[in-house]
Amino acid sequence: MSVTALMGVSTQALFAAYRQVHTIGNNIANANTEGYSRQTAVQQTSFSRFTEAGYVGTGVSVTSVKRASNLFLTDQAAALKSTAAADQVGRNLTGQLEQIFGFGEAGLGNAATQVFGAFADLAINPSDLAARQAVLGRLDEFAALSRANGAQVQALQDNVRSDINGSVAEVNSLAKQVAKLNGQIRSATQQGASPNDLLDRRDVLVGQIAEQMDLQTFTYADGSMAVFVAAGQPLVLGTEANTMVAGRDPLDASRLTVGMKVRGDFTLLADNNITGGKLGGLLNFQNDDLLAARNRLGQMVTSVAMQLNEQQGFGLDLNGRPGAKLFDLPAPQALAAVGNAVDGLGNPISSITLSVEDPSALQASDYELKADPGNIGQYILTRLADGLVRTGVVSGDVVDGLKITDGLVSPSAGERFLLRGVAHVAQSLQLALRDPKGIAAAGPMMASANRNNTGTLAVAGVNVVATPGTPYVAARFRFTDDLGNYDVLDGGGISLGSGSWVPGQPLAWNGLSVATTGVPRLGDELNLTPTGAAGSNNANALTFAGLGDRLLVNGERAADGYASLLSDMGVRAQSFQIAADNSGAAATRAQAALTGEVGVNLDEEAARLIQFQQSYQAAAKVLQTAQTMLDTVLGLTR
Amino acid sequence: MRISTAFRFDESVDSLQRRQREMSDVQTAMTNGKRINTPSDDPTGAARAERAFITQKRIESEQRLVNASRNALSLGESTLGSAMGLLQDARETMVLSGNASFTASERSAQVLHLKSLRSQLMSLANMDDGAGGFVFGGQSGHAQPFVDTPGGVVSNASPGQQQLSQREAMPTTLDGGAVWLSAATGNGVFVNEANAANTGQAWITPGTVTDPGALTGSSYSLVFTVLPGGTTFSMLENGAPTALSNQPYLPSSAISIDGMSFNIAGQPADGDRFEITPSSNSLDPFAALDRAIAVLNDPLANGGQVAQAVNNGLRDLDSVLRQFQSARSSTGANLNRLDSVDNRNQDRSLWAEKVKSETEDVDMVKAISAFQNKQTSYQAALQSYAMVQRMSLFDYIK
Repeated sequence: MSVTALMGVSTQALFAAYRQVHTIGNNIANANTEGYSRQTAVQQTSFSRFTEAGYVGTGVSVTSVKRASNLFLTDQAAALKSTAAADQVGRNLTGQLEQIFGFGEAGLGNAATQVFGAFADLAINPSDLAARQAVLGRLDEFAALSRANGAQVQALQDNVRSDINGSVAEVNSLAKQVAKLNGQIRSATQQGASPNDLLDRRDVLVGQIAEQMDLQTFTYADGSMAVFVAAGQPLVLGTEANTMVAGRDPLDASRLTVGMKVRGDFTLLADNNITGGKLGGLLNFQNDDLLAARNRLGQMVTSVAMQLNEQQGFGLDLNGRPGAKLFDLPAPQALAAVGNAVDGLGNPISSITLSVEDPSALQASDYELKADPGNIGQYILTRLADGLVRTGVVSGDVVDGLKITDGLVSPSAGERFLLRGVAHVAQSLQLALRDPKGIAAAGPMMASANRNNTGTLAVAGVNVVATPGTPYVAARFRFTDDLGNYDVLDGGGISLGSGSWVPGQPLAWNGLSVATTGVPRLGDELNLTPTGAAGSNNANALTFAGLGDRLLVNGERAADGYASLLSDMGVRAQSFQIAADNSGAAATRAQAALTGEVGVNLDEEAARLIQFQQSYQAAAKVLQTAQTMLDTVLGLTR
Repeated sequence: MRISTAFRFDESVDSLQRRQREMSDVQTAMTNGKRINTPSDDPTGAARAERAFITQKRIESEQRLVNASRNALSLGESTLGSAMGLLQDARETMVLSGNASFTASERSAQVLHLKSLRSQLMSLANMDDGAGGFVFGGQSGHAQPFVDTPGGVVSNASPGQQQLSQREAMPTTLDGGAVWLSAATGNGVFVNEANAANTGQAWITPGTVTDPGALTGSSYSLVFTVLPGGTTFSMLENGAPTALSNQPYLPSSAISIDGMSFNIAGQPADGDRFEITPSSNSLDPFAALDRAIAVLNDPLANGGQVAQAVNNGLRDLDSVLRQFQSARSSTGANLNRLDSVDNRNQDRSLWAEKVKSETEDVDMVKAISAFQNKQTSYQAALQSYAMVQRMSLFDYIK
């Protein structure tokens, strides 16, 4: 055994300790680097040498620098980060969405109520031009607030579009970098060493993709990693990255959807397969919350505006003519889907016509209309908000207040249309009437009980509830018994019809509804006369004012409809707040677990620093000893 | 378990920020006094507060209608009061002009007064409400509700009342035709009139109903025959003879038939007739005054005609007075009801205010204690952060 061997051992020990301290130094240096995984130098006893005394140790060597990693925790952290990012986007966007809809004085419910109140004020003095001007002002405020709310929702949709585009671009750029790293890692792995920094960087990139959309990964033996998104679509395979593309939804041009180009072939990714990440959050918000907001707002505005228009048409303006419409609002739309047959100019050949039959039955939803391949001339209609499917719908049917009619060319089997009843209305609502004299405050007909009646029947009010079947003429209800059966007679005593009075129910004739109190007796008469002086009659203004209590919006009063909209938006924002808090906490916990495993703890590094410092000092001491020993031996020869 | 130093820093900073945010939320609620600042703070509460707010707005609107109706009805009520005063005056004048000792010229002074009362009544009937409408305007009408025509006063107003609500009677006008032109003629059941061609001095009283069950609703004529042997009368029912035929006439004695009883006073001439017809709701004070004025103004009118005119005039004015009285009390009842609507509205408004406040207002005691709570935990977090983060093994390696 030579002293030089001992020197060799101690030199190796020195080197090993140095390598350890170096690794610790690198850990400390990178303690705050994002994605850095703690590294440890793996040291091993050098092979012992066989001597006459048996095996004698030859020292130590650092064989590799290992990177702390835990595949499970890495995946879990990425997945939870994905969910948290989606919820965070949802929280931010629904938070912005609910801010659009003011409550109290600033709300659309109040604007509608003010309209009804202005009509009540007009009823006090129906010829007062100032009161009429006030009605116009309130109507204009309603339209302006509706437009403002609609435009803000639209602006949010525009932001979402650009965010989706941005998110897709980021995923594409990250995917390219992952593919490139895959190549570098593969060749480094082939050389036998673990490319720790590259692996760290790739994990960071994959985590960043996970923040954009949820994904699954698979690592191959050669070190390369495949990234799959949206239920198994390959985003990265080896050194190849596929490109994600954002484009219009085939059914609904106002929405974006995403697809992927795989070797030149374009595949549309189902939106419900992308649930996580910023992109998932954006798509979900766009397809669910934002659409619900547009539809609910549109439903309320359309129902109220159309029924105000209708009531206006039933009454007489200051000039004694039937009222011209109060509001201009866009017609419902039937939009051909991408994929329907087109002519040479690219215009769809077949078409569907949509009109509103019953504004109070409108639902807050779009519909998908599909020509039934099995039954010619029939349609399958899906209400998109709740997925309700109706089959056997034919041209001319009225569904949820919308009348569906075939266009010039009826759709052929499999063709699809988006039926949009209300979602586009709010931002385009305009006040059409500008002349205060044009407000139809007067009712077309007046009713009064005959003075010589023996019963107690009295008139409480006359409403027009439908377009009259025949022009209005003077007429009278004449009761033919004490049970309430009556004939309707015209001025000349010719019978125009008959009916029965039901306690508590208005008398109805020719679109008129005459509310009464008291009880009729045989021979009693109730006279209907056309309104002569339209300026001093307030019947229609009263009906307008009474619309505030009528169930205008799908079974709810206008203001209640708005309150429901508010609480719907509130519930959406609230549930995202809770979800974001929960998933954020879960993501933090997963991140804590992961960083606990792979992150740097400075106290630990400090301890190990001392450990290997001492180890270095000890090795140096051995070397010094060997040196002394050698000197001793060399001194013998002097 | 190991803890990554970098993560520990991040997490502590996160949790400090969270506590700070919580504290600021409570502070916001405390500053503006609202528990609900966005719908998501309490979606159902926001909807409830919104509904309560709208209820308040609607009550405010209805309250304006109540006030408008109350103003209109008060005006109507006082107008009716003035009209009744004028009618009382007319009644006294009428009694005065019935004085048998009056000469034609003395009567004409009373007639002048009656004419003036008539025109005053007319302007009351056409009273405007100060806002372009008329107190007795009925359901609609721009022109004056009442105009004189050769055939008498007619109503231009449409029948009925203009209402301000379909749920609640809140009129802004009175039914002019019903108030002014629809008093019961005669005594309310039948009408006794002297034939205009009568030449005698006899006149007939308004009469009374003695047996409501025996009333027939027929028209009767009482025809006198004056012969040297005495005066007799015959009663015809719808032109047909009745049991009362050629009865001897005793001045001022009661004549009864089919549940009706009346008196004839004075001496009739041969062929004089008195007509007894069923009452109808068609009497107006203008026609009543016009009829009386016509006779009283006639210098040739004999005592019987004057007595008949005064008698009929008083009867008619009383009927009109009754009609006004009933319109006035129904207006009063309406005003009363409006007061109760007013009270109810105030109660409902108060209730809505309470619901709104309970739903969206901050409970200050709770908020203050929550704020102090958050403040304490924020302080604790800050202190522990400072203490923990200062500790490091590197500090001890010298």
